[in-house]
Amino acid sequence: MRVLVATLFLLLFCSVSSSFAVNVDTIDIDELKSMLGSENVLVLDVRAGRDWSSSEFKIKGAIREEPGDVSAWAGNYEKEKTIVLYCA
Amino acid sequence: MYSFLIVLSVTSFWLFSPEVLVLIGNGGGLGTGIGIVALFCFSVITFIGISFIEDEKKSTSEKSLQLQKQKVDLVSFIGVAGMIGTTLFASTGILVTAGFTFNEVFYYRFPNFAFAFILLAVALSLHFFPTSIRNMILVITVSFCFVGWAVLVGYGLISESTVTTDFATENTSIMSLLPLLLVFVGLDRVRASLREELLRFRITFFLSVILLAGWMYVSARFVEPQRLIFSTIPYMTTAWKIGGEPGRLMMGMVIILGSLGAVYGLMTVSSSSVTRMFGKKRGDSIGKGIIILMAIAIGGMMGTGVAGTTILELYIRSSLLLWLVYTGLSVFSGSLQAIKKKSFHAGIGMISGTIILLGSLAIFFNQENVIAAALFTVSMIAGALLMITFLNVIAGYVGNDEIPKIKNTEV
Repeated sequence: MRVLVATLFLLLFCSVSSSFAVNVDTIDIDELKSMLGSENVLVLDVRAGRDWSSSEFKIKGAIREEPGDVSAWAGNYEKEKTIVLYCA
Repeated sequence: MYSFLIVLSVTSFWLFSPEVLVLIGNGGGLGTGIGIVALFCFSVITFIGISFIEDEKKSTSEKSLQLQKQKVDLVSFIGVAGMIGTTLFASTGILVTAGFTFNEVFYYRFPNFAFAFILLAVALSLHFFPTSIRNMILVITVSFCFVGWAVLVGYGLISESTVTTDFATENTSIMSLLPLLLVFVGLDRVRASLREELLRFRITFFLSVILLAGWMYVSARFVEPQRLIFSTIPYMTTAWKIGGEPGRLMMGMVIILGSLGAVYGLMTVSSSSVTRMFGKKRGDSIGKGIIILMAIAIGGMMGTGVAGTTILELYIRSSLLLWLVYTGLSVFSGSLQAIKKKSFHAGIGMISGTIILLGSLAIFFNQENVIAAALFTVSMIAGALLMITFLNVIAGYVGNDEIPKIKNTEV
């Protein structure tokens, strides 16, 4: 039983570690704040489910899009603009 | 006092969860008067109804036990499906909510999903602590939660209301208030586990209901009704309106501690729902295994982003409704036993069971995606059937030689 519990903790640790290791370009809050209001910046809130409903923070002016259906809305936005995706 | 707090921690494991806070907050937007009346009515209906479930067990003789089991087992599969479904899906949602709360209220540099995993690990490890330490942790958790929440309600009651809009009476109907029935899910198992502490159970239950009603009242005093009805985090909005940043911090603490208590409690209730189908010896070892498997499943769902999908809410709602249907059927079954004994109270049990059953069905059919919910429900019942069959095989099932009595600290 103890071995099983230890294994579970290891699995939990690994899943957390692997989540940290995902490599995507990100910007921090201050960087985004300085960009907000610019005509060339578009913020898309692609959070869904609890990621959106449990969060207090909603970015003013952000457009909500369905994260699982990118192809349906990707063409709606000008590629020349800086598009910031808020996903978590 | 300490044992009273232990009973409180058992009674309120679901009542203090973020899911219930959302139901209460949304209900508050429909009008405090009718919302509080509905809350009290549903609490009384549930309270009376679940007393018949126990009566059924009390009246069971050794001979009739075997006969009754065959009848109840079909209902039990619905119960197992509802409880395990709720544990898996509601815990996933609750933990993610707690993660966001920690990240947004306390320390934004700490990833929300990492906190959710830590809380899951804590809830799991609690099951392996010695009873005395586990009780102490649960008592501290629930006491902080209760006090923090009571302070917010108290402060909200003495502060001046900031809402000027009338209640959204156009949205108020019996259908819109019915989801408040879900607040009292799980009390059947709580009462069964506290059979020897009935007075304390009654006191802690009604204290909790009063606190919930108080929260509903102050929510409506501080947040505009339209915002309350549709908010996904009405508790945080209300706390901020009542107490500003300190109120928000206090609610953050309540949410995190309430989440821990809820996940721990759900795991315990689900595992006991399965283990009571087995003898005590086999049941104990199976119970620990089920808890570990459920933790892995919850961790897996969090890791794969299930919480970030809209379907999760449908799974949670459907699982809760399955559990409620199970409670209604159990109340009904208990009332039938009472009728056979010519108890003049039996009619009250029948009415309670009918209301719980019809209420569950009404909520079910009032969902947006009924077909998906129905498919999920059937899958869950089939899954429960398969799981019990599988456990019977691997445990070398030898028959229900006894129904183990759950210790009062186990739920």
